[in-house]
Amino acid sequence: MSAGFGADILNDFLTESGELLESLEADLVVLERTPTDPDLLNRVFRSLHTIKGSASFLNLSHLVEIAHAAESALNAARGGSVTIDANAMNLLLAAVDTIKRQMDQVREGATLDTPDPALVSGLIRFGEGGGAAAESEAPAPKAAPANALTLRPEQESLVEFLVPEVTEAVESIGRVIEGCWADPDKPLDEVVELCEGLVSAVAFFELEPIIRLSRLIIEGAEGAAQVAPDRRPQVVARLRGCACLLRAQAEALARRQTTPCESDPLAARLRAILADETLPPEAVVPPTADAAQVLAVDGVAHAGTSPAATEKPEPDEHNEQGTAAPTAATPAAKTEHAKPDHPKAEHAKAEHTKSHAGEQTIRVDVERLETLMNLVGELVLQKNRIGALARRAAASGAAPELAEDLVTTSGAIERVTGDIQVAVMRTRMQPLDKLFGRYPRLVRDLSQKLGKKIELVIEGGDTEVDRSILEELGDPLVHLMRNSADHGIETPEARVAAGKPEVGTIRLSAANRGSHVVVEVGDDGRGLIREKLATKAIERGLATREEVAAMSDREVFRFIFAAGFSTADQVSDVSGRGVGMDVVRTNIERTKGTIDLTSEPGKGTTVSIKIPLTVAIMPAMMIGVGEEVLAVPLDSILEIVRPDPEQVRTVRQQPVMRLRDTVLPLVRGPEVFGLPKARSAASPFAVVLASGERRIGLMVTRLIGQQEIVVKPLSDVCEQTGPISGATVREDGGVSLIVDVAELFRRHDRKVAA
Amino acid sequence: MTTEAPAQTKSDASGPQADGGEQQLQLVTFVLGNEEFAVDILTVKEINRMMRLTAVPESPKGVEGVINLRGRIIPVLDLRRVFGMQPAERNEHNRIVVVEVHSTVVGFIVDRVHEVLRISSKIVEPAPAMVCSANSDFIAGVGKLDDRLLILLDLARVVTTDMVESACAAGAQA
Repeated sequence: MSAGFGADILNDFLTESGELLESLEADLVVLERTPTDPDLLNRVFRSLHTIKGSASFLNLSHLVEIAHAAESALNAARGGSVTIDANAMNLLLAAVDTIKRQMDQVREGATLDTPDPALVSGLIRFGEGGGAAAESEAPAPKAAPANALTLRPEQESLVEFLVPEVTEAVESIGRVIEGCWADPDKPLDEVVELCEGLVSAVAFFELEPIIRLSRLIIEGAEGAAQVAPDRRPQVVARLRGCACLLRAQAEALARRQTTPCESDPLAARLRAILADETLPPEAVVPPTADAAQVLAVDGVAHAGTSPAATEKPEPDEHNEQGTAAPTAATPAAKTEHAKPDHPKAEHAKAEHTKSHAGEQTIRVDVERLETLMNLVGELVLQKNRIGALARRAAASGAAPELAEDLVTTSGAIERVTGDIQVAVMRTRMQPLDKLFGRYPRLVRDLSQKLGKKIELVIEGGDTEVDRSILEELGDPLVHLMRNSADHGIETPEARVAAGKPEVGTIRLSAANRGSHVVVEVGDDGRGLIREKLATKAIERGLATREEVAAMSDREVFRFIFAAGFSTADQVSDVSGRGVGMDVVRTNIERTKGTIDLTSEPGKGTTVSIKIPLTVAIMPAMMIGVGEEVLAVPLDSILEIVRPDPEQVRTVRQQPVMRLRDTVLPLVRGPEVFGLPKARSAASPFAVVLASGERRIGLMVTRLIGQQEIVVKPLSDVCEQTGPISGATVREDGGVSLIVDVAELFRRHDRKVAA
Repeated sequence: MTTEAPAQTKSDASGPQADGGEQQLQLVTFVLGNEEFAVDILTVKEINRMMRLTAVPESPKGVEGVINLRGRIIPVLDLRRVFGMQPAERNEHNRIVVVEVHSTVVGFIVDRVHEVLRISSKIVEPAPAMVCSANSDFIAGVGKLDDRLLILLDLARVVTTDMVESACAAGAQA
């Protein structure tokens, strides 16, 4: 059905409408709480309207149908005749889901689903003030549309002869006006003739809008002969608008319906031109404008795309500023500010960038960004090598001047490379809002399903992270929020009984902490119960009773991240199968992030995720273990100490050392990396590593220095079984492995448990 | 080196293809111990001298380490170990044969690279059960030349099947 349109147009539609849908969904959920907020209502309406407009341009009629139904419901709410309740919201969200599905089908080139008739009629009925209470009832197929054409019996019998006649006349009028638009010298007499014929044809049927429009066209066409030649296009532009409205009327007539016709602003404008009044600049139609835009410029809601517009008060006839817009369909108002070159694109753009006007963006293929990022990676490697060369030259003492120049130049390259790296990284950054926007809907649906009252508070959505991380973060956050809703937040009764507010809160927050972003999901629910977790952990053989007794609350709570661990007494369809937290932890660790959890019985649970801003390039400490050189991500390193041999003790066969007031467990590098030649190597340094709040000391042979490393994947032939997360190329061209700090902690845990 | 070049003309032995279609095979041959192996030249990306390897802890059996191949990190396997042969002292003849199979790039350490050779597919026969040191799963066929046997390797199996198995084995040992 979309055949004939280029892939570019379709893609633009999909991207733009996709973005609009995303914000639409989030706005709808907010709207449920503040159903009368006029700004929000308008925004939601506008988004939907833009989607519908683009879809109708692409002839996606099924999509238009559902969007139109939802739009009429919203419009009624905008007019204040109805208020959006939970049922209406369910319908609206279902409509959004339908549109999403249809857009997927457009993407795949499949045939679009026909929207559920019950849904469409439910929405329309709501829009007519019937309330959405009727939602559960079967659709009433026989219910006449409210705007059905009402005719007297004698008219009724003749109307079927009228329709083809009107349709044909309207088509001809449109054609002739288009002709005059293309060729300004062409006379408009024929139009007058056609319109007179039309007026007499419909007079018997008292089709007032058609008569009114026809007369307006006659007036304009006759007037066009009198005005100055340079104003003529302005007149013809309005005539095209009239023809457009006329066509909408004819189409409605063919369906035996009426559709509102808002021709007054257009008439006012036309008369103003004929009277040779000066028009405000925005009302001057550019020569390339299409008819719909003419309507928009004149503040007329196009009957074909916005039939509900008549519910608004009639715009002031003498309003020359074109500010009929606030009352008429808002997209029209938007277009007035848009640049006129590309009505369609600008229109959508104006909608989209409403909050940051004048923002200049281009869409770039992600692949190109990836290529750029890889090239920057190579550049960083070469920069490192030049740095090494410069140091070598300086150390050699030969040609000291040359060496000094080399050092200076390499320093300059280093700065420039650093800037390029930051700039490229920033192009890949996206605000977390892109992700967070999905969750109000999720929480809303969850609270309905679970019969709980939950409010989602989102903070810091403007925090930016690398797009690859954004993707990896999506699923874990869904899991965490489900957990909070299902296990954390109590039922309203239980909450009241516990002296808490009836409505539970899930707080989703994000903040920048240096080179990391911390995302927290917290709830004010019942919290974790230590005994319950401890019992489960012992049952599952994760620890012995004695061990658990010696653990801090925090350590006990960490069991929740073990595979197959669920504390829910019953498996619900929301969560409780024991896969959640384990998956969450794995996903987060894949992005080199860490996860931690705090909880207080009766007060709630907060899970905090710490993720690096980017994963492709990172600062690292190069360490020597035996003969090998390894890279340890600098973010994981707290400090490096050189313990006296007698400071190192053995507790339960595990080496530990006292570090100020704490006991630091140690792992021996040569052992843990299983390097045969290095097993006996001395390792005097302890690199103190952190994962969340936990600490571990990695004993190494040598400290080499800090370096920017470019993370490269290890081939899958090397099945990453060791505590290694990747590899990097050193300054000397050799390969160094990158230590997987999270895995080191896991191994240590296993060893201690064994 | 190519004293066996006329071998391609002596192609009266029946090939493995039942359809009897004769194909020219262009092979790179290399030596491991006393046996000569061959791989399709199209799978070979390059042949390098030995270089320093970075060992990867807990890597599958046969993976000696990784190298930097112009910015790409690739694993290097010691083919002797993959085939369960006795390890040998490294010398100046050792080469790393870099191959690409199913878009996986892997280097193989071999004792020495012998020659590039053209043979007819007609002189290639299915491998007899007990023919050489290598696991017969890896053998695509045996090429009979005048005075020697060429063992044609199925690299795809060496790279994939074996890796999965040995990765499991390595995991079990660890």
